[in-house]
Amino acid sequence: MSGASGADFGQGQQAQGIHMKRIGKAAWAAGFAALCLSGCATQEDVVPVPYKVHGGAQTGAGHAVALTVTDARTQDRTKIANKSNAYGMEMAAIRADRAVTAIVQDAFEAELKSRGFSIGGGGANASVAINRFYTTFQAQGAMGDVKLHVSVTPAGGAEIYDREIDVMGIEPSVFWTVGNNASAALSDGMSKAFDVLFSDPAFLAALEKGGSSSDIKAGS
Amino acid sequence: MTAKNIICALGLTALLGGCAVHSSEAVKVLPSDVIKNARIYTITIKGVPEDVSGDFKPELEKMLKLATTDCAQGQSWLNLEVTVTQLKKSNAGKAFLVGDSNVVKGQARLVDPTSGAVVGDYDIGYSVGGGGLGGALIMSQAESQMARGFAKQVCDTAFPGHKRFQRI
Repeated sequence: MSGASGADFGQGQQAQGIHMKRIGKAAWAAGFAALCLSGCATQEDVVPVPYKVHGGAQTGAGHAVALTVTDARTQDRTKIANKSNAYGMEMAAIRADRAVTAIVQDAFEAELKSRGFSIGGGGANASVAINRFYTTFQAQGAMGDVKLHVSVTPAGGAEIYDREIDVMGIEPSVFWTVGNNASAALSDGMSKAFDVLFSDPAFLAALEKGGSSSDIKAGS
Repeated sequence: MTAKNIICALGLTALLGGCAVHSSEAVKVLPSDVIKNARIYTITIKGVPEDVSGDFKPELEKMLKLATTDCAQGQSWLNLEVTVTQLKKSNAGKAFLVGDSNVVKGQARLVDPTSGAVVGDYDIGYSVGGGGLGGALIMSQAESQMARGFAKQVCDTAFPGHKRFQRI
């Protein structure tokens, strides 16, 4: 009787042990599932934001343009995007490897030079205020929100050109919310912004006029 | 792994609640002596998103008042100016089935009332996300939850090392 009870007790302990192992495995599986849902988005990315010059007609004819780029962002001022997890929560920051003012200035200067303008004083003063430079990750891809305010002032004169540029760059069909996808969307956004700007005859006229102070309307 | 284990794992996952993360960052950090001696004089909410209810702004103001009363207990007065630029509310169905999140973003500026100078400037970001029944329940009161989270983030980011919150 007591032997049988001892065997039952032993079997019970063994069964309990197996049961505990199963619960342990299930807990690990639940933890793994939760980890998969949350994603590995806790490490910051620091990435370059490259820019490919589009170029255009040689309208510059050596006219000098002094360029000033300022950071006028009012939100997301220390980063260019955030990684996000499966729930859409903002996780680690994605940062540019240099100041956004330098990124935009270099891209703008490259576009000016490719059209025959020279960079320097003595001609028009072009000012660019960066109001937004941030990528969000959405179902359709990475969306690079680029908002610039561009104005042109002749040397010693009043402002002759003024325009808000609001474009959305896209890096389609991205799966990972990582730095390279964020920077690709912003590169596309910058391309679109400068396409809009340099396709505006009033902007080119304002740059060419340089020292003149006659009024030129954006988009005319 | 048996089917029973898989069902058990899925069941545990479905009951999982949520978690909160912040993405707040300092643009201009308050000087350390100001952090120790600050007290909030006025709170101005300069803007909230258009799609929030009329209750959000007073709720946020109340939470900011309660939070800063706990975290800024010094003698030097500062004005707090807050702008909320985004408030995303989770969808209950989506939260239950695949997971979703509540997100709030904005800015908090601390201004010296005598000079008008901005002495502290912060980007505030806070989100609560989750899945399953627990997650859907946790995220059900989005606006009050985000108002409380935003206020706590202002304190945690601008006044690090403050005492635990007593009132919120």
